[in-house]
Amino acid sequence: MKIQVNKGGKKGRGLAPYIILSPYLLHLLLFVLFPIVFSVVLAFHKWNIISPMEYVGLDNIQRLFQDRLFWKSVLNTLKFLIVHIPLQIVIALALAYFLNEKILMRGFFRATFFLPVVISGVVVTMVWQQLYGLETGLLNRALIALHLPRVEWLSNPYMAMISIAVMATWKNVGLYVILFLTGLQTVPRSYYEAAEVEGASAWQQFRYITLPAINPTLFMVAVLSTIGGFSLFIEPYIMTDGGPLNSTLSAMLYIYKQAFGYYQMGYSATLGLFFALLIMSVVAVQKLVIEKES
Amino acid sequence: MASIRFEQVSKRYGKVTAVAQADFEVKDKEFMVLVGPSGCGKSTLLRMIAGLEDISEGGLFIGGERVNDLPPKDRDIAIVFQNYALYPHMTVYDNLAFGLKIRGLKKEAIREKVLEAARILEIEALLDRKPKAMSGGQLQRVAIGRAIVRSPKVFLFDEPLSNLDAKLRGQMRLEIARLHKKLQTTVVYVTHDQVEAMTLGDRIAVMQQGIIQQIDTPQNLYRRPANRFVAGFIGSPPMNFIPGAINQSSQGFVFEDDSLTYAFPLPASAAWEPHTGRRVEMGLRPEHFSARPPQDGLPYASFEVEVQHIERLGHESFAFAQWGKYALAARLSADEDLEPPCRITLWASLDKMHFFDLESGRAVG
Repeated sequence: MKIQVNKGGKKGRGLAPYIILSPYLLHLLLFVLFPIVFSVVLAFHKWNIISPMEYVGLDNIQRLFQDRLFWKSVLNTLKFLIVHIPLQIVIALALAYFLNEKILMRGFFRATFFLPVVISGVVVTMVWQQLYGLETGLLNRALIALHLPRVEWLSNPYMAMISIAVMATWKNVGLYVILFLTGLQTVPRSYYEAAEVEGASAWQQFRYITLPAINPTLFMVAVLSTIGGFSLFIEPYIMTDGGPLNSTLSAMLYIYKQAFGYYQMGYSATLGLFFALLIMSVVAVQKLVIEKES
Repeated sequence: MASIRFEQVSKRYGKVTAVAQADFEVKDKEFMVLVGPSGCGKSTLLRMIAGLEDISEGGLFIGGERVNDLPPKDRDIAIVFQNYALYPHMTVYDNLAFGLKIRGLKKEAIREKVLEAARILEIEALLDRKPKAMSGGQLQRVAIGRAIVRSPKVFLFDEPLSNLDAKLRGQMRLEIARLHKKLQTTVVYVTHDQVEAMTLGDRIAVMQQGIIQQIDTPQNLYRRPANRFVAGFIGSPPMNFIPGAINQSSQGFVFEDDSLTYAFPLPASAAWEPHTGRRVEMGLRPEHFSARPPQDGLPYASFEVEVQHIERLGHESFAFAQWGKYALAARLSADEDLEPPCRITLWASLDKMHFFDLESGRAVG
């Protein structure tokens, strides 16, 4: 039998594909390509939106390396990641593990844990702000009722970023639960049965069968939550505005403030590009690790 | 040394009974095959031996010890799964060694046992490979290797050959038989394939709807099926069935078909007496037909049939024919040169006929 292959020639197609693609291309052009190119241009200029742009050469880059507050914001973001990523992975994996068992009302629990993912981040943050309240917050009231000292969830510089990381974990964990669940469901039941007959305990089954089997999911979750964590913005923006003592000032929030707080468009663009490179290099390292593992 | 005894063992899932009052014994070193159509409860029975399913009722004994509440790891059994269940991230060596490692054996002891199992199954060259890089037949060998490496008291096989192609299946069948001879271990083997059951089993338990229909040697199952289900299940193409009744005539007992067109005399026996007038089915296997009258002098019956289709297998042919309102399958020698549609006469010895009560399905006579 002869199989006809469409060689994708230009004949007979005309403009149709371009017209069909045009909404996407327009979006790509206006909201992806243009901002990237424009921010590269901006990085070499001084601009406050109102006055004309002024070429400043490498001044912005020089300033970046001397800007201690920016480096603090990067460090804050890393601190957030250190709490957020392991917490997220461990909780998501544990939840997925139990939601994969035949438990009562499994569907209900699966949906419930996913719910925070689809709720607006602004709403979640405002609700948690109430929970974290120093005097009237639910958490502190509970602590007082138990005759325990109350905690300065958001007003203690050492505590604030941890509180934000816990909230962000609550908000996002459902997504990773779903990813882990799909990973767990690809492990055939007979693997566990074989291991059970061989004498492996529940922990050994998890360690020697489940973990290696979901390794690819594990790394995907790590990469996704790293990228997600780097873009920490809404939570500190609404809850603390970067305080107290700049302890929750995330890199994204700092970049935003440079642009729309101080109208330093050029410098903000420089920070943004630099931060993008930073994220890309972290993900590249993760990608290398994944490829080595599998 | 391990026999397996079922004492009135039942398994229920809510209102559904998967296995009903299984009561039999697998003798030490015996190769017992559980066979039946899908959903008949054979795998459930096997999984109860393994401890992967709880027993709802009754007692299960391995080597005389009641194991109902014993976890799988303490039953000293090994199981080979249909999908092999080899761990994809481990090499063959690690797959074989896994159970031994879990049981805390020393490295050298593990190595010795793994190499011994690999030698028996001729998979030494595969030890460094991962399951992904192996063929179905090789995976099957490794799965069996993982079972024998611990030298358990009992081997359980859950449809181990269903994922293999026909040729490989035949080959592995032989190897499993050879292995059993060599290892002298009690084996319980689940399959839906009657050829596997007949060729491998010392005895076969035929199951249907959770009930064991008959347990016997392959020969006896074939020659003396206890009921219509077993008669129809064992044999390919399946036995032909013709509904009718046993009646008494001036010449003695006869079988008359429903349309009252045909009547065959039955051998003189008092056994027909209680079934007189009752509706029965006459069963005749395709291989008991012949296109020539038998020369052995035994009484026979003849069937004028219209052959509609012939399947030529080379060494033999199967004729699918219409006999009155009944469809019949008959095995013929390859020399019969027939061009369907055509009319021929088929012959069959009367003593090859089986009779089953239509209501209970039980063999009569």
